[in-house]
Amino acid sequence: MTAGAVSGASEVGPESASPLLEVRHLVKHYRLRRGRLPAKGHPATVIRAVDDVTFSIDRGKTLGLVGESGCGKSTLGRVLLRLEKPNSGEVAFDGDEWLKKRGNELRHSRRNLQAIYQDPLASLDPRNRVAGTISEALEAHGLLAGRKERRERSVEVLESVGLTAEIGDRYPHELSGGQRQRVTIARAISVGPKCLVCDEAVSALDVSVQAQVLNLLRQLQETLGISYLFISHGLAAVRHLADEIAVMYLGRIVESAPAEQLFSQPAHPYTKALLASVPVPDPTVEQVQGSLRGEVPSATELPSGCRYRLRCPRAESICAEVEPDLVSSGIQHAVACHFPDLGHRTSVDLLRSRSGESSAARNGIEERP
Amino acid sequence: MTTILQEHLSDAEPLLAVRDLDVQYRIAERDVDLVKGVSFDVGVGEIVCLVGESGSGKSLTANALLGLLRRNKRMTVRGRLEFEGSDLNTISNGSLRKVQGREIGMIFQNPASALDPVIPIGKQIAEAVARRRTERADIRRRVIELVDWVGISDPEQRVKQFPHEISGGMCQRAAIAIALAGDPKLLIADEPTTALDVTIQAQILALLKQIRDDRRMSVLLITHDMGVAAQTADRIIVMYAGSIVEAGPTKEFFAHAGHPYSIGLINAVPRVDGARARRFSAIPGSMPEARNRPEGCAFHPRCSIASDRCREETPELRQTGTQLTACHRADEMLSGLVKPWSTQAVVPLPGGVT
Amino acid sequence: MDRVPPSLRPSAWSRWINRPGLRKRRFRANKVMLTIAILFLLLMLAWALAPSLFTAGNPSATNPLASLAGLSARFPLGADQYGRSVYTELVYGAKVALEIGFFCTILGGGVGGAIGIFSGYLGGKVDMMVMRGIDMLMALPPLFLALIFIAALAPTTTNEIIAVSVATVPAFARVMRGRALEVRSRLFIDALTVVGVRRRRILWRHVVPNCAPPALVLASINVGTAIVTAASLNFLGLGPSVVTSWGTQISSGQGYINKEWWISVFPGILITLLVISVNIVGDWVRDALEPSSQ
Repeated sequence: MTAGAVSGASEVGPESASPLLEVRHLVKHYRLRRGRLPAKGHPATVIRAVDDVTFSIDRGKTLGLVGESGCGKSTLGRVLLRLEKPNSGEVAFDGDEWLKKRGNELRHSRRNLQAIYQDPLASLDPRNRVAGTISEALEAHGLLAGRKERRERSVEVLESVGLTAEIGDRYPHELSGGQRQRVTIARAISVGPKCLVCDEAVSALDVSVQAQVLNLLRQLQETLGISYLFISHGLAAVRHLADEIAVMYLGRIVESAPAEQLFSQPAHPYTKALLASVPVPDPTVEQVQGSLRGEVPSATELPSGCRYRLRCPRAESICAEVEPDLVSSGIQHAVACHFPDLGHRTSVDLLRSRSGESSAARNGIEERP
Repeated sequence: MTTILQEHLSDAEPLLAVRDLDVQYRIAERDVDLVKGVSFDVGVGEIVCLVGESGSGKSLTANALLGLLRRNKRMTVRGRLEFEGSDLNTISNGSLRKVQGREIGMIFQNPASALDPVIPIGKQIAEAVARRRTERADIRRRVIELVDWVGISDPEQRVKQFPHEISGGMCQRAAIAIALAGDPKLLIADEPTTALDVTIQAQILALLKQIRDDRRMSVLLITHDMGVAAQTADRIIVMYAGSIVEAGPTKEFFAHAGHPYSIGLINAVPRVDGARARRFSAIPGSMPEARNRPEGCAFHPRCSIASDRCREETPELRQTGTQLTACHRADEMLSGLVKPWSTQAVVPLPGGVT
Repeated sequence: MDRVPPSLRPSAWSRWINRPGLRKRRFRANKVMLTIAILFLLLMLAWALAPSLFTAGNPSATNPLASLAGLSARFPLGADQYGRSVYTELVYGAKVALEIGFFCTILGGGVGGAIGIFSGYLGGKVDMMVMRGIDMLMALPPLFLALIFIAALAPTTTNEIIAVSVATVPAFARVMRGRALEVRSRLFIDALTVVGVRRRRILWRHVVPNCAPPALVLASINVGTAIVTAASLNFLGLGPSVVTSWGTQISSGQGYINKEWWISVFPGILITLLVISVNIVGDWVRDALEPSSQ
């Protein structure tokens, strides 16, 4: 079976026929020099931050990329934004070879792929007022020649993200967390991008503000048709915003599915464990912790075969020998596991080795008597 | 304001009784109230969650309990912190040191920075143990006991490692071991899992519950995460803009919260279970800074059912049903006359409104 | 403001000095000291520009009869071994002191800072090579470095300034390179790259201004260091011999320090006051330029 690419259902007209962003076999390794020269028996330490990742995003759709620390999602984001150079792989953005662009051509193309980050205060120059920051973005792409026009457009953009014009005169440190994030969103959309990378964009915000910003992002997607790559460790937020979700573990995608399916029928043991771990704000729902053991192994010493096997309750001998491929297991649902939980289509192997386990795939939250 | 809900507690004395805690900060020749009129109890063997967003004053409250604000000349802490017969706010520095680490332990948000980076964690745990025991063999035994208890894997290996060599989860476990070394009766945990992955968070929270069960230890858990509070706490205290707005047992709190802020907060949390929402219920506006708190109820600018009385008079914590609520309209909500956030179809107010 | 009577309106100066954007809290506490510092510097400037307005004496006129005279009406700060009024020497020495202090700092700091920022911003091999070069310079004590230069060149004031500037370069290069590295690694620089801002603009409009604060701190300290370094050169006899300077005053008064202490002490006090004043004003400038507490 070929590795399945995650692509959303293209329901609308011809221009959404081809995906906006296509990532193929992207690899990013970091070499660590620990004072030991590479020699026999001591290979240079390599961190496989992103290890052969393939996915695509359709126009106007959101792909949620979830995973815990060390899974490579942030590195993936940085590589996509051309802040790091990948070791191999291809990225097609709006039909163009994205990774091959250089110099001014790259700089102008950046207009279409913008980003917002986890720490809005750190992502803004503390010495610039808000209006200046937005004008600078406009000026960098030669939009609106005059200063007055740029200033007016800045105000327009600020209002479209729910801020008042006078915010333009303030400095970042004078604003609240939610306002700052809105400012970074304003800067990003001011140049009219087709895709926005949201790197943990709401993780550092208070709950009530988080909800506001998520609503804003959804609203902007509806009006402007922007695609999102929503990188987050917060499963719950991703669920409601994303059309599709890809779960990453130690540099690889281990499962990808349409959002609702991922939550109702998670197939990969890690996905299930992840879902079971998210504390639900309802004390009547008992969450039992038990399926996940230990911690994420060091990124420099990956287990043989399946990277997840050391923590997996279902690991068998084959898991140590063969690394599972990302394989299609349903409509747009792909899993990288030898014993995925496929609901009513449980594999024969699974039936053989697990007697008594319920085959009805449930949400990761199981209630034990 | 000292009416505290007592009936869900046994008639036993509370372990910690906070009465009218005020924390003020001197800035530009003015004293700003950061925390005002906070009163609550922590009973023996229960987990109490102090829930609030950033700026609510929850961390300050926790820090005030252990006298960590004493060094700051600009801060004034007033009120009574009754613990085991003494008032933590007025005891001498020497007596306070005896309490810290022995009767009350504390763990913090960022485990790696709470530990000394140049000392192996085993030694740090041993140092904590050595405050109470002097025999080497005894210390060793206790360290192994603690390490095992907090679930540090590969103990022989780990104790020799430095904080930066081990994961965040392990660091936090080590920090818990250090906090428990003196066999405290109360553990204060200030956002202990915020910086950790969700799977590790689940493990650490399970550990806290186990500590409560095994040792009848009380835990004061400070968090902004409603899910963490729901799954871990016996009782919940919600803080907003420096004061308590609601307090009560966990199950009842989530079943029918009494304060509009609590209700809004619970609704605003995105869920992994239940139906998928198209819109998130957001509370408009944002929490005011300490310097700009409005007259009357601090929440009224954002509240969907604010009345004139709310704008003028600061509400007191009063018993409403099973909860203690600081809301003028709590009775109306309880009897169903009024429902906050019922018209949530509205677009949230611009974030420019502070 | 229009309906407030003129006598009650804040003056233009008051409005300017209290404009929003200044760090008012810290500023208010130091307002008195700041005013004194600014006045002192203005006085020094006046001394430098028009010394004859402040003293009737002639700096080079020796008067053996008045040698080593104590403090009196005629010699308000005493006289040195040549009978010259210490006060007159100080007034005339202000010009050299300010020249050396400020020009060396500006020249050395500018060159050093530029080297440092470019090296830090470009990174990689360029950074490595430049820093090794700076390391070599730093291996020599600053005085020694200045010494080499002035010994090679003719002992004029200009050359003295050049020599001391060279000695100033390594410290600035080091500090600014470190700061440039730190600023470059900040998220907002990445964010600007992603926005599509030109690299050159990022360097000049974002990296350099954010590197300014430590440069200002270092510069205000360096004013004093430069003067002392030049004084040491003069003491060794390597500076221009004709011109009076505070440094030479200190060194020439060394042998008399037990009894006729005024010859060395007053110049020393003045150098100290100058350094402190520059420090205070430098801090204020730095705070005024910072929109937040960075």
